[in-house]
Amino acid sequence: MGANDTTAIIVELAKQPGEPVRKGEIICVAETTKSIFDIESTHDGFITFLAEAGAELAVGEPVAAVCDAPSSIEEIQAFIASVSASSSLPQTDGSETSWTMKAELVARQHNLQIQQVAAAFAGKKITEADVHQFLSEQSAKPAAETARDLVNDLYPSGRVQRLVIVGGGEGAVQILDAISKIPTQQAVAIVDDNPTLQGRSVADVPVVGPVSAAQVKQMIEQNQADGVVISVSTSIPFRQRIFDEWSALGIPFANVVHPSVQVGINVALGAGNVILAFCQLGPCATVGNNNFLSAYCSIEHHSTLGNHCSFGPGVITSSRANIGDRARFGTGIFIEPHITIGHDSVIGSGCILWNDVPPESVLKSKLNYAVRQKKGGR
Amino acid sequence: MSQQLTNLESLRSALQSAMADDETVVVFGEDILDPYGGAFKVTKGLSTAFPNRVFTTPICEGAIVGMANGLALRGMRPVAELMFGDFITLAADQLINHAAKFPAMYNGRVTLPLVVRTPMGGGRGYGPTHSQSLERMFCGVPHLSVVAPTIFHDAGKLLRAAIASDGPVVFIENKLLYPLRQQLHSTATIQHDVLDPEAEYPTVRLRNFGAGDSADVTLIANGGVSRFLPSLLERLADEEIRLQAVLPSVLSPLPPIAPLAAAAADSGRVVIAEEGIATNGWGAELAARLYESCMGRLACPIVRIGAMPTVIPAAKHLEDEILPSETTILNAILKVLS
Repeated sequence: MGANDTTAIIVELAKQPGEPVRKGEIICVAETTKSIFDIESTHDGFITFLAEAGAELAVGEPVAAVCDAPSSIEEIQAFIASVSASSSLPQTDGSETSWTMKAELVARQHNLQIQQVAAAFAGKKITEADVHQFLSEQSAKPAAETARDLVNDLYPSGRVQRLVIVGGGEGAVQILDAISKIPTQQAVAIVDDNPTLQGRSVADVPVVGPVSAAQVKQMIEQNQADGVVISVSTSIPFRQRIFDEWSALGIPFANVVHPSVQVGINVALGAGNVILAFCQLGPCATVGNNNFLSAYCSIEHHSTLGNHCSFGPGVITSSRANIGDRARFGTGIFIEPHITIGHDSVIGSGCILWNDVPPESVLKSKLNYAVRQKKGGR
Repeated sequence: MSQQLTNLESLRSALQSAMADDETVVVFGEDILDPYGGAFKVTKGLSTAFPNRVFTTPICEGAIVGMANGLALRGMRPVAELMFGDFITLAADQLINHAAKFPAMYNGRVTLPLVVRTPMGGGRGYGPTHSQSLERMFCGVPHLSVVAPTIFHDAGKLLRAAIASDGPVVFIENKLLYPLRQQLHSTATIQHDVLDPEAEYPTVRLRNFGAGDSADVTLIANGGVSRFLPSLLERLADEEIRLQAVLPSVLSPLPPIAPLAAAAADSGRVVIAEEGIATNGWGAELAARLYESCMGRLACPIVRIGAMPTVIPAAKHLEDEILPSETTILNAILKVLS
């Protein structure tokens, strides 16, 4: 086409209507201001002309159609109409759009279908502000209307797990320190029976009330928290009672694992465990529920640890230790390979275990040392 | 306020006033004499007003720019017109190997106050050899400036600055801007300000939102792309998308990067649009410079928009598919916002 031409005149048809044509054959001749040129068929088939000789056509208008079988002009026009109808985009009419692009973008950023918002605000054009209003109303709805899901449905994968800590003493401080180093966990509340702690906070985490299953369950149900961890390490009966009763009520327990802990392959870890700095869980170790491991403990490879156990710092197992429920360990204990420690046992600080320990045993180290005055003062 | 001049009127009056103010300004090119007045009429009336300093030339772009180089070396201020920017390739040797190098080769003892004006751009169905935007081929040539007004710049003022400059300037005029009225002030919906008012070739910023808000997206564009902006800015304002358009008037060397980087970092999302081919283009250099300056301050990769890397067809509906449009820019904006 010439630069300034918007139309061309069909000078001559080179074929009879309905005649077979081959790709590349001349079907008609057109004229513009600067030249006369041939129009070739782009396909093999039977030709149907949509314009007569002498017609002036706009650029882009069809001259003829080439079909597999001879066709009438009406059939071709119906076909063109159907194609252009099906290819037209929805909402090409601007007045029909019922939301702004910004509103749609904001909705999408919140994993929301803009149609959901539009349904809530029927009859008006949805703006960014409407989407924000919709989102805040959603989050304010009672928890019962919002399915709680700790796996991955409700939250994005990088979500922060919000924890309630049972007990506001020094165990809580250790747990809060670990949580402060874990980007995916956050402490939101502490419950403690000590009346002097009420209304105060530990490391900026508020003590919200006594140790009450009802209150914690409500927080979970209202989507204010995701899980619970027990900070009390000194009373195993307390640990077990809270864990068993609250689990029966459907309150989920979470593990707090300090980021310096080394976890080997195929480690099985239950729930409600607290594992503090520099601990090791060797390959294929199994750890039950609700254990409290102070710093520098090692549950070596293929060892098994039961539930509700409490460890002082520096308890080192060798391979394939088997530790029953509610065992309590002091500080600085070494355990030979293949040792079984029965449930409810108490192992004193400094023990080196090279024989199995029957259930409900109490072990006290006989290691002793002498203290004398340093000669010559300082 | 009186009605704004068109881009063409602004350029035409700048040539008139430059010739009236300075007798060393001479203008020449193909077919520029009255009554024809040049293919795009920028020189219309000029040969009547200054018959001794406006002359027509044979069809030989190399000779036109070569002659201009000689005049410039000898103290004149030549303004050469190339009828279509596509033919600037024929003058590339004179520009790259001579005009840009002489001042340095003669140790600064000569200046080269040369302006080569030429129209670029498609959208008129002029086909493969009369529609290109080849300015990117001259970007990055040391000591050669490439200047391109938008409709938001005072094109005549930029042309006067180019004529007053002592170095060689390739002055790009987008064909489709000629009939458009310049928009040099804020309107009810579009805030217009200049980032560097003291600069020889200033950078204009347009915003479809009020001061105090930050932009959702920054569009950095030049020359002919500006024709899409009045509609695009208003359309996005209706869609609640805060668009900030930053329009440098000098393409090469790039203007100081700090104000552009600040604008880019303000929104964190950047689209760069040019009418020329984006591959190895102006936007590529600009994007690289922005990445150097905005490390960690961009929310997503910069998206570049330009002509598809192929020849430009004459048929209008095919040409439309090759060249950037309001739609392709809008889609790029939505992409960086998503």
